[in-house]
Amino acid sequence: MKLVDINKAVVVWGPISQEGLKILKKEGHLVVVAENRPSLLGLYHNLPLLKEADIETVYCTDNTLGFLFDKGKVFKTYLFYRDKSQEGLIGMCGSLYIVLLSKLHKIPLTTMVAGKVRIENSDKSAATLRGKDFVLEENTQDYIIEADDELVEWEVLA
Amino acid sequence: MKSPLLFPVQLRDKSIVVLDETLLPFKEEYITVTTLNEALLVLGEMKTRSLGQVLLFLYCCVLFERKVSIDEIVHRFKEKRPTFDFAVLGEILKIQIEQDLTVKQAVGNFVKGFDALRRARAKRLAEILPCPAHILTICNVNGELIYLYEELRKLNKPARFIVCETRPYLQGSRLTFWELRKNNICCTLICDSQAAGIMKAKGVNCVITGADRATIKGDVVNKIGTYSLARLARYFNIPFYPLTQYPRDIDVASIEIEERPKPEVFMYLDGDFSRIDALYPSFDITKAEFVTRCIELETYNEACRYQ
Repeated sequence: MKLVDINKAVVVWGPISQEGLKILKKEGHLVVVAENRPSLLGLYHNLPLLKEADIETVYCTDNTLGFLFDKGKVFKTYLFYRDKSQEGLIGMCGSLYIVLLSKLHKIPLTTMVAGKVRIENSDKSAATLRGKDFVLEENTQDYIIEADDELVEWEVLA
Repeated sequence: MKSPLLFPVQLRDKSIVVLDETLLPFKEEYITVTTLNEALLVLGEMKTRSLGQVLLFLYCCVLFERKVSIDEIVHRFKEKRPTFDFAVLGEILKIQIEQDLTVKQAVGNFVKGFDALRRARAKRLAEILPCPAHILTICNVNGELIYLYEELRKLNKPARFIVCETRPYLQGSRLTFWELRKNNICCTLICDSQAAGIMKAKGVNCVITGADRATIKGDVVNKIGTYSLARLARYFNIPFYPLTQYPRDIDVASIEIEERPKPEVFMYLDGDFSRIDALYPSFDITKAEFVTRCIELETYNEACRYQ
């Protein structure tokens, strides 16, 4: 797919739930699936679910989303979060990135509880990709930041 | 301090030697190019990019200009990598040739001057960065961050680099992180989407990126993901400094954004992804309003003042 082929799409971030899947199916829009590093949950969880439900998708790297927003290709973002706290929503790595980029481009955000994840992936940081080590250093913990869940505060979501 | 990425393409007697950047950091291998078609293949397969594609273009002009005009080489390179401004390089060469230099002399002057300009730019940038400098970056700027680190040290400004991995080609992990660590420079590797979290946590106080294209208004075109960093940096009041060269008086919207073949989205992943529809614009556009200041190359004469 080329940029010109995308007109009115929605973006999903985090593990899609069955409830979310039903909504996406009903809406019938093209779904932009970001890879969701480091786990690649987009590729190994979200894409298979969407394919199974016969929903049209296009896959891209996480760093493409801001450009798609800027080009007016996306009209809604779905954030699938893991938990709620007094401070805000807790989502997987990159949740703040996607929420802020949506907000800065005035793209409406819909939040939903995340689905159960079926995949197993050992990647916890940028140091590895499907277990393959891209950092030659031995003590990588000194040079990486593990991908923890992120808090997206209520003020940011407002 | 050094990095093979400072000069990833070199001219030999009758050939061009190209560092295969796709094999780094695991192997440091070089491809020998003896024809224009071989050069175009190397370019199209992303074996080299950024400064490497500049050098490849210039050395093709040296080796093949008797058979193929500079304009034709510009055209052939542009077909492979449409976003990059090979025309400006052709114009620079032609101006030098009009002053009775051979192509080889003109290219030699350009390459020698370019390195001095990079060093001078690093010095100017170091002067305006905070102390300590916690620098977020994306993709790879061919060793210029090492020059920057050296200049920061001279100013007694401690520096730490936070490197976005830069999917899908992982230039951040495989090139920038690798060359910084090889030189024992303090750095941290993150996923591209961790950038907002680290900005919020005050883990960075400036963003420095390359720029494949720039306009005189201050708009830049660079590796996909750059625009998002600029927008987030503005949100968190963090300065954003792209390293620019040869800005054009054009509308940035007129620059073609190259879209790479979809299998490249799955770079370095094993499996059959042929049935997945994917999208890979390899560059994005950052408008001047989100740029704190373009750190431009100065003229060669100005650069000599710094040496």
